[in-house]
Amino acid sequence: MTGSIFWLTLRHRWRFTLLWGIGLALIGWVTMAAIPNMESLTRLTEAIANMPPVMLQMLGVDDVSQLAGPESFLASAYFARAIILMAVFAVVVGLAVSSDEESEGILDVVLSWPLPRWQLQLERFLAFALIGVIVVAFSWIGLWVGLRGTELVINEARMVDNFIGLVPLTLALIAIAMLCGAAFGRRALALGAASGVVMAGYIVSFLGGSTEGSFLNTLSPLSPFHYYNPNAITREGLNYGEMGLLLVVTVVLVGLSVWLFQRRDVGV
Amino acid sequence: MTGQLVIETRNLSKSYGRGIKALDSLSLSVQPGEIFGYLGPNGAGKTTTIRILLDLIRPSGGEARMFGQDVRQQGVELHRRIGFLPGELNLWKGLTGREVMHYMARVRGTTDWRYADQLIDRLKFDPSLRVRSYSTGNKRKLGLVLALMHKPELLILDEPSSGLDPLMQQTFNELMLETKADGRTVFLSSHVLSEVQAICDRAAILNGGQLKTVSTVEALTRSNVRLVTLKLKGGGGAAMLQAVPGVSDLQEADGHVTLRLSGDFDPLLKALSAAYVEDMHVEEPSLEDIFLGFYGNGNAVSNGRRTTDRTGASS
Repeated sequence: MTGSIFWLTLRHRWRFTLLWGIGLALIGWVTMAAIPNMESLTRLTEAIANMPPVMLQMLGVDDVSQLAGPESFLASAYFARAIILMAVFAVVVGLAVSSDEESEGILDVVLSWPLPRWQLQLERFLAFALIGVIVVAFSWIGLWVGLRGTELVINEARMVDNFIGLVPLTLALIAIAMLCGAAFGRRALALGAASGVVMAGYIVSFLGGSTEGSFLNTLSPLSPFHYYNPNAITREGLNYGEMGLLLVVTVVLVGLSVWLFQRRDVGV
Repeated sequence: MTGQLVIETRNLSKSYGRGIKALDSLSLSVQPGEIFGYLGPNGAGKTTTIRILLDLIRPSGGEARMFGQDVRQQGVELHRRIGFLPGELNLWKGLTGREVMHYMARVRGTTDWRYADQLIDRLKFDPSLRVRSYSTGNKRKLGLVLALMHKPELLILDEPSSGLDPLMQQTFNELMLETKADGRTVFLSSHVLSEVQAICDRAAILNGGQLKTVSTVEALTRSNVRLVTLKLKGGGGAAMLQAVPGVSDLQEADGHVTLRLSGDFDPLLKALSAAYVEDMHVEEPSLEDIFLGFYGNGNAVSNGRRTTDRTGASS
């Protein structure tokens, strides 16, 4: 029945969704609790400014002066970390689209039901995409609640923009992991491939971004992380072009996954 | 039996890398309303056949059809009409048996819950527990409920009774016979020969990916093979009977000669004419004997011309 896999996936993954959501919300809350006022933010900013350039780049800081305001501090201290967590989340759920069940032998039973393979993949992807959005929303709630306990005045619209910008990146990363699962089947192999691709993308993006004119800098546009820059969003708002590109890449990768999964032997 | 074939394969083959041939030109047909046993040792190709029928894997050659439809092209439609139990049933460990049943019912869009509850009662299965807490036997029961609960036209069961206790085995046999009485079809692979002998109408024997024989179970067990035990005065019968046409598996112990005879009795009786026969006992072989004959050298026992000395060495 159309939609049944989508709803059942949501229903069976509610604990998983809640755990990830609460975890990310707590990180947001703790981040805000660490800087109750401008004085503590200034002290923290000074400490961060003394970090090596590569570390700063990992935090998404191109320029130390970016840390001056609470919004830009959040972009560097919270959203740069949220990218890594969402990347881990994406790999976990991307493999759960089909690879996990294939490795556990469950897929034999599921595919003996009157269910086309494309429908299984597509409905699972959509369910996990929605779970991704819910987890991002939880993160926002955590940060928002944390903010209420501080004296800081923050442009909350830009904060929301950063959360919205995180969604297309998460979807693209889920699609990458899903593609690896569809191509390789077995979880260990798919996990290795998905983790490798995502980690390589992250490294290329943050190292390439800090070394102007280098080879990595040239490769950087190939990485999905290149199209989510929390500091730029904080300064200029959402970049719809980059978000659109990530969504197009997601659609292409999901289509490719479905095509690959449709063609190959399952559980071999 | 008449009507459209429920399962039909023609020259079905499946090869994996490095030249491993899991299935070699399998041509098989299953009639509607029959219980068809699919026998063979591990690696014979039984599960490969089933996985091709379910479109989990794709054949390297040949074709497979169910209800006259191609298993690849019409897979979804066909899956509405079948119930499947895999050899090793793996399900979501965190769900209860009942939740798994609801999951499947929702995807299928239909289920006769009254019949599902009857199955639960008859199999003495508790669906309220989580899958992770089920024993092998209970998992098997859940698998049987899942395969049967929507009353499919065709049941495909891979080693269905492994893990069931003798009482449940009896219930399983009854369920299969009821399915047949409903006019529905059962295709089951099995190692349990007594099960095949008890409920199957026909059986196929597969070895090394090749079909060795297909026949009614009755014909298989009443093939032109007999197990003969002789008591000869003075002993020494084995040497005398070694060259007799149709005699194989010749053994002598405690003054008794046992042999397997295929074909007519006349050559044996003529060879015995010079001996004093104190006692002679003739029995039909069990399906297991026939099955083991196919395993041994890939030839049917009924065609065998092997002779064996007391130590079991072929000559």
